Amino acid sequence: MITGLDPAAAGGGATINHQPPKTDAPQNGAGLAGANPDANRASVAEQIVAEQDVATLHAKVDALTAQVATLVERQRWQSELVGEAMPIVKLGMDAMSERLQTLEEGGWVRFGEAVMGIGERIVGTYGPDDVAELGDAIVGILDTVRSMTQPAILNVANNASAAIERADEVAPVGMVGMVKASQDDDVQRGMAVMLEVLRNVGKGVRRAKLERRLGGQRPRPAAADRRRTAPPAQAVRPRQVRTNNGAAPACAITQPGPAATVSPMPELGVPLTDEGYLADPHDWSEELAGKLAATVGVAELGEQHWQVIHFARTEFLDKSVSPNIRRLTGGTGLNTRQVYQLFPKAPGKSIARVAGIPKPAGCI
Amino acid sequence: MHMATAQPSPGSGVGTHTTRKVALIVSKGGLDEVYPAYILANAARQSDIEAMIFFTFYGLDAITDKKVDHLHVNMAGNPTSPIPTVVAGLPGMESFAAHMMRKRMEDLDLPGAREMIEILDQAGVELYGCQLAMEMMKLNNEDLLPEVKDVITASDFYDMTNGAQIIFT
Repeated sequence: MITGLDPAAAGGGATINHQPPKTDAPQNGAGLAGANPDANRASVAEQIVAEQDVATLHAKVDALTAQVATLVERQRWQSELVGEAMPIVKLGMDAMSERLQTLEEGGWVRFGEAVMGIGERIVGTYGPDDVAELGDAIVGILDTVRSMTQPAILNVANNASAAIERADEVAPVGMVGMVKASQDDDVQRGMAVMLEVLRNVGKGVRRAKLERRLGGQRPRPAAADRRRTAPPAQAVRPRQVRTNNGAAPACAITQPGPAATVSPMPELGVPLTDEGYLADPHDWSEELAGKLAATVGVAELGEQHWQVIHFARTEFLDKSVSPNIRRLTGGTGLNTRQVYQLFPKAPGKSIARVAGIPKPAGCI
Repeated sequence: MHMATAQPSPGSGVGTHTTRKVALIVSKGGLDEVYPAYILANAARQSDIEAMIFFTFYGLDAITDKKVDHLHVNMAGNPTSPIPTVVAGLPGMESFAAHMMRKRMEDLDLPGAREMIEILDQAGVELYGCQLAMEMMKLNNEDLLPEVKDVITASDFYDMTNGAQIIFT
């Protein structure tokens, strides 16, 4: 910017030129006589110097003007740009602040309401049979995920992504480039794969269309009734007892027979385990059951008590597993509440104790 | 673990009177989050221990009539899950997991969530909903299962659980 203005070269140099050394001037004393022309000459020289300076300044100003003009031009562009952009930015800001305001006005409660509404709509719109259908779709999704995570597929995907990483090094390709590239073996193979994928996508679309057209005639699974209707709480309903070959019930730990330590109880006259169960189920009798019942807070055994006890014994002798309450209710037709009423203190254990069988091991 | 008033009974607890009581809090509605509470409460009753369950926040789903049959299980973020988190987060995976778990439970002859509530109620487990959570979820008493005894506040909960062992599942 200031390179063109060198005072030493322009002004300074001129001064020296126009003030040549005056060798003819008297050296001493003659001073005043020759002083006038000397002074004149000096003033002329000064004027010239000043003119020179002005010229330099002119040049300087010119350069500056040009620069200012450029800057002004640039400024104009910028202001035009801002002028154009402002309405757009303003629109965006308006929309954003408006939305924020509605959010704030409604508060998070209203926001949450909207979300809950969606949830309700989902629950309301989709029945259990829809969910069952969804199950099939999920199997499909899982299949896709499985096939997509096969090592071979992952390898291919890795290579493809490596190519994408180098995308900035790749030159643009036109029609001719494409034809040329299609001569490459690998490209040909890739194209074949892509075409196959496209073919399958098309096939899928066609099938979906066909299914939609036939959709009305497709029978829907009747799973809804089974899942939706809960049996009345009080009804006596003999549930079918699963006969899984005497296998233990849910989370049961099969016990290796009665505990090793056996303590005889004088009043009963038969050996018991540490926990108070009959050491040997074959010692049991109905008379003994009455005595055992007293130890679990049941004063008198009624008809329903006997029903439960006999079922428990049959179950154990049949499967070598003491039945849990669920099995007892299923087998006797009594409900859980009734079983608890019959044997109020820890029914599962009480029943096992009175029936002369080991302590039940299940969790339910 | 034992609280001051709990009288640990020797042996099975059969035939011995005890004032032992447990209160379980269920704050999430996943299958894997409600069943532990159900099993514990049920086992408590079978061991002659008084039991109550307090359902709050998403735990309310387990006693909401519309939702009890659609309880799910979240596989994402479970470090021991056989399904990697990235895959578990895919759409449909969660439903799939829930479907599988329900099936597994059926195979084990475990009662479903609705039947479980019925059994717990009959076994004498007291079921309560959280009032604040009900308000937050816009639920009314009619939305809940008939087995739910009442809707209570947090301080009611403490009044009721005086001397009980409180378990947050």
